[in-house]
Parts: sequence; structure tokens; C-alpha cells
Amino acid sequence: MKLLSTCSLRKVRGRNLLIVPDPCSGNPDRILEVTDSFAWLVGHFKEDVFTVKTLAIALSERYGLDDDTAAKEAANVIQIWQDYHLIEP
Amino acid sequence: MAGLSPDRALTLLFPLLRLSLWGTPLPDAVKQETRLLNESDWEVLISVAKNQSVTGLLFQAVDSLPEDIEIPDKTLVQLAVMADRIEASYRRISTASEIVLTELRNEGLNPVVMKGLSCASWYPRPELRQSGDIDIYLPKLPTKSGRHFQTSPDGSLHFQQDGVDIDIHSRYFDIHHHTEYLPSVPSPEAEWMMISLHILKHATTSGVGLRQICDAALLWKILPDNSKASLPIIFKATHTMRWHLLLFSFLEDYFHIQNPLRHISSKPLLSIIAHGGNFGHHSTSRSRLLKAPSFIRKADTAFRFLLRIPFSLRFAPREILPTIKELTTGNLQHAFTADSHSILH
Repeated sequence: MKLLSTCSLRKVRGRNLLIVPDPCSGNPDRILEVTDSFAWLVGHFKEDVFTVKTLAIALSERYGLDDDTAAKEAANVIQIWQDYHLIEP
Repeated sequence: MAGLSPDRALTLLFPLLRLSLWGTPLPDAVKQETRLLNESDWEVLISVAKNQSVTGLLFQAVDSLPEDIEIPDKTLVQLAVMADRIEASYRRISTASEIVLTELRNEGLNPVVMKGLSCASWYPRPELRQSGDIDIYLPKLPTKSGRHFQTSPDGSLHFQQDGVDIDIHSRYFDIHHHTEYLPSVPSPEAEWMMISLHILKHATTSGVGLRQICDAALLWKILPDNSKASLPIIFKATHTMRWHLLLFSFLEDYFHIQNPLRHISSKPLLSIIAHGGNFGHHSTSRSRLLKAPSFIRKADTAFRFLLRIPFSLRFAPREILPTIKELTTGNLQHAFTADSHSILH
């Protein structure tokens, strides 16, 4: 899986804004305010191919989660990314 | 309470630009005024910044404002999106520039990047300086190339690289007289004269935006002291002292630059900046402008030049006749030669 290469993350006044452009016009289609941890994950995996497992490892290392918790969180994150159509088709 | 007027917005923009360029904290009165801005007021401020091609700097300033100044959500999002676009454009232009410069060097040429892209490197965040195209100086225009060029009325060559407009100029300075006194290229003094005279050219024709003034302010700050000391002699020799008196007075008044010359009223330059910024000239993609009917482009240029005659008489009188001649002969030649020609291959 890969995140949409066209989406960009911008921090402004302490807030994280994820800008997702419309694929045809390039104009911003959706703008989401996200948490620091969400923003970190997007930034960390933006250019990489990832799986639930690699995501879980990253979460575990960053937040000191045990394997089960990290796996559940990773699955949640991927579900959110899919719900917001942030994953490349 | 009446909303923010464009004139008031321009006045408010200057301390915000100083905040983003130099990190200068806002004066208390400006902080208070900023606190009271509502969403509509910010729309006006953004519109003025857009007209002046300094939206990226406004974003940077807003991002740096004290936490107790609340910014409407819509404003933050708007500025974030604009900054995103500016950065994306900068990356495209930088990549295109590398390709073209490498190509020219491989042909044994010595290109010098001028204007926009060279100015960006002076900024605290180069990627937030709005740039639309790439300008390259080559004393001798390329003779071997598979590229399809268009010749502009001023003799420069125009083409595109990956959708980015590129102009190759055989003339570095926008001045017609006393050119023997101009500094050699490349040099810090030459870079100053190029930037300054380019602003003057725009002031007497299509209009000047704050982006160009910011370029000059930043360049002056980083120029070596010996260059700063030698430049007034060049101003005198090239008969551009009157213009530099105006420019430095403006930089002193609005960007708090240490003025190396005596102060005069900066109102004539403020008036040009206030009445239209870049006149949309830089926001119009060059490729679209070149595709517009020729008579529209020429009429537009002539109109703008005539409008600026009073200013030109005061600050660049020696440039009036050469500019008329250049505009006339350049446009006549352009009208009677092919608009584009392929060079070799």
C-alpha cells in the first residue's frame, strides 16, 4: 500500500493540515486537520510502500506500544486512511 | 465597524513582511489591529498579498504570529493551501532549472540565473518565494539545440521545460545608456544593478509588486560592505542616482533597511505599488500572454508605458526615448518575423 503522493502535510500555528488535491484539477479537494501522531505517520510513510505490519512496527517503536496494541492501532490507521481515500488505488 | 480597506491592508502588510523576512516582532499597535481582524478582513489582506505576489511570506508571517492572536480557520486553511501551491511550483521550477542549466553547460555555455530563481536563495524559506518562470542570462544565445524557441519583442528567447516558462536573455541589465559603467557579470554589484534596474523597468511600464521590493531588500542586506560602498559611484556614473534615492528611501521606510543615500519621499513608488502591484503581469502565465493576440499585448505595453511617463520623467528620464525605440522596433521586428523558430535538428 502507498499513500497518495499528491497529498501534502502542512503545519501551521501548531495545527496539522493534510491537503488532498483533486486528481483532475489539482485544486485542494479535501483539507483535514489531523493530530500530531497522525501527521507523524503520514510524514513517515509518505514515500514508502507499507503494510499493516510495518505500520505496527513504526507505532510500536515511536510510542512504546506492545505488539497487539500496535497491530490494532495500525489497522485503525489504515482504515482511516482508506475511509478518507488517502491510499493509492 | 467598517471592514479592512485594501489601502489599510497594504499598510498592515509591511510589518507582516518584516516579521517573515527579518523576524521583526510586530509593534503593539499592529498586534492589536491584527487581533481585531475578522474573516473578511483577512480575505482582503490575502487578496492584497496575492496581488503583490507575497502570499508565501504572508503565510510565514501568520504562522509566526503570537499565539494570543487568533486566526480564523478559513484563513489558515486558505493560506496553507496557497503556501502548498507555491512550494510545489518552486520544486517544479527548480527541477526544470537544473535540467536546462545542465543542458546549456553541456553545450559549452556559461548560463547565469537571474531575477526570480536567483532571488529565492536569499529568502529565509526560498520555497515560499513565488516564482513563475526562469530567467537565464547568456551573452551569446545558443545556436545548437533541439528546442523550439519563441522570440520575444525584447529579443529574448522563450521556451518551456516540463511546463515551466524559460526566458534566455542576452542582456543582463535593463538599461540603455552609460552601460560602460555597469559592473561586470557575475558580481555582487552586477546583481544589485540587475535587480534594481529591473524594478525600475517595471515601475515605468507594467508595475511593481512587493515581491520585487522584498528581493531588493534581502539582497541589500547580504551584499558585502565593499560592494555597498562602491555602488553609489556606479549609481552616479549610470545616471540612476535619482532612482536609487527613491528605492532606498522606500526600503528604509517600509523594510527598515539602513539607507546608504539621503532620504527622499518614497510616495511615488508606494503609489505605483499600491495601484495594482504586479498588475497581474506575473500571475498571468507567459505562455498564455504570448498566445494572446499580438495587438492586445502591444497596446497593453504601450498603455502602461504612457501611464508611467510622469514617473519616468522624474526618475529615469534618460530611459524614456530608448525604451520607446526598443518597444517600437522590437515589436515591429516581432510582427514581421516568424513567432517561433526551431534551431537546428
